[in-house]
Parts: sequence; C-alpha cells; structure tokens
Amino acid sequence: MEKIDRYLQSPEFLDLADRFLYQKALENVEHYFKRILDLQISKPIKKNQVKGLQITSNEKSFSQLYSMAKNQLEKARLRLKDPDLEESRDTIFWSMVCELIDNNKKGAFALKEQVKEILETQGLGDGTKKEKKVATEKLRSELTTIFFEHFCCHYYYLSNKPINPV
Amino acid sequence: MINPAFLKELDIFLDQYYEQSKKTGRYLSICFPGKGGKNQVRNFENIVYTARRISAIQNFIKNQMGKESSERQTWTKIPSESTMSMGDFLLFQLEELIQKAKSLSENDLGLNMEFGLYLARIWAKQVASEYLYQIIRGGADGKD
Repeated sequence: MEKIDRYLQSPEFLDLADRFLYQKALENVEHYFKRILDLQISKPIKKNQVKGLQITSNEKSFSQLYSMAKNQLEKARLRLKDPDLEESRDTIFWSMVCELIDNNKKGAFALKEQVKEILETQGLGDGTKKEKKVATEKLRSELTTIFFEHFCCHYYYLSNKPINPV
Repeated sequence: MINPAFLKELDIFLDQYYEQSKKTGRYLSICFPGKGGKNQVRNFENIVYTARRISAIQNFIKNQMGKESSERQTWTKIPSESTMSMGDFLLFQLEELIQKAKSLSENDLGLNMEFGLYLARIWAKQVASEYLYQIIRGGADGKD
C-alpha cells in the first residue's frame, strides 16, 4: 500500500475530515446565508445548483470542478445588468466556491492550499515526481469530495429552515 | 478492538443514556408512523452501522431534512413535547455522543473515532428498537 493510501485511512485523516473540514464547510455555508440576509436578497441559490456542485465534486477531477465553478460564476455574472457593481445570490455563491477551491490570499482557507500543506507536513510528496503527482491527485480528490459533501448537506439543511426558504 | 476497560465505560454511559434513546425512538414513531417510515428508520440504522466517520451520519440527517417540503414533514416534523424537529433532535443527541467519545479518548484520534462510532451504533440500535416497539403498540403520544 502506498504512503498516501495509508494516510487516507489513518485516524489523523479521518479526524481532519470530521472536524476541521466539517467545521470549515459549516462556517462557509453559514457565512453565505448571512451575506444573503445582510444584502437583503430574498432567496439563496437554488438547490439544483448546489446538487450540481455536489455531483461534480464527487465525479470530476479537481481542475474540472474548478472550471465548472468558474463557468457558473461567469454565467451568473452575465445575468446581471452591471456585473462590476452588482452581486446576486448566484455570483456570491459561485465566487465563494471558487475561493474555497483555490485562493492565494494569505491565511485564507482553500482546498488547494490544504493539499499542499498536508503533503508537506505528512511527508507525502517526498518520493519521485510521479509519486508526488499521484499523492496530490488522490488527496485533492478525497479532500474535495468530503469537503463539498459537508458543505452541500449543510446547505440543504439550512435552506430548509423556516428563515431560509429556497 | 476496543480495550475492555474502555468498553465498560462506554457501555455504562450507554445504559445511562438509554432513557434519552427511548425518547428518540418514541419521537421517531410519531414522525415515521407508516410502512415508508419503517424503511426510513431502517435506512438510518444502516447508515449508522456502515459509516466510517460520524460526519457521514450527520450529513445523512441534514440531507434528509433538506429534501423535505413544508407539505410533507417527517425529519423536519416537531414531535409534540419537543421543541426541536426530529432531525435536529437526532443531531443534538449525536453531538452528545461525540462529546462523550472525545472526553473518554483524551486526544487519541484513533480511539476518538472508534468510541464515537461504537456509541452511535449502539444508540441507533436502542433508538430503532424503541421505535419498532412503539409502532407495534400503535404509536406513541410523544410524552416522556
């Protein structure tokens, strides 16, 4: 068994998935609903768009997921009269998703950065170039699927609360 | 496999928690009274049994709650005598089990996971047994 596979089955990884990623996903969904409320937007993004995110994060690669999120953001912007000045429930949502996948801002949480950090701290990227690539891909795939599973389920949960009807 | 000394502590806790589990079983019989309800509770029990992580159980409950419309409520129904919906009540109890596992495992991540899943599985069994018992009796009134 490869080092990365052992790590993905380790208590450290399961704990990261259940606590850290879970908490981050909840925080971001709650932040989204708060922004929607603050901006007095009557409804959050439709559940079928969130379902699309969940399915893509399960079935597609990390880069395909990022492309999908960017594409959705672009489409949402095009629906606005003035994309430079306006925001909608969809643009807020998809720009948040893009930043959750890849964000260079210092201190910001992003899955791409998390993968890098785990590879370094766990010594998973120490082997050959090919081994590092395999480890990166596996870790990205696991982390993304788990994170967006937490994220989407919490979204469905909150969207059905009386204060947030979709 | 869990060390017998820990197992004893976990089982003592579960015995003390039994009344809470029974309450949940009774609430379930109010929210899931029919045949379809039985399938839902069985499905929930299966999810708890097969979960590798506690968050899979939390996500399952949230997902079920998120699917419902206001016209047809089961997971989101608030049983009489409760201030929380069925799903929120399950999430609340699950959180209590998570905290218990955390306090017993003393920062050992492997034990924490093992204890949490053990507690959740026995709890689900207690809850589902009470649910089936109430269904056979013709349903509960939601009172303690």
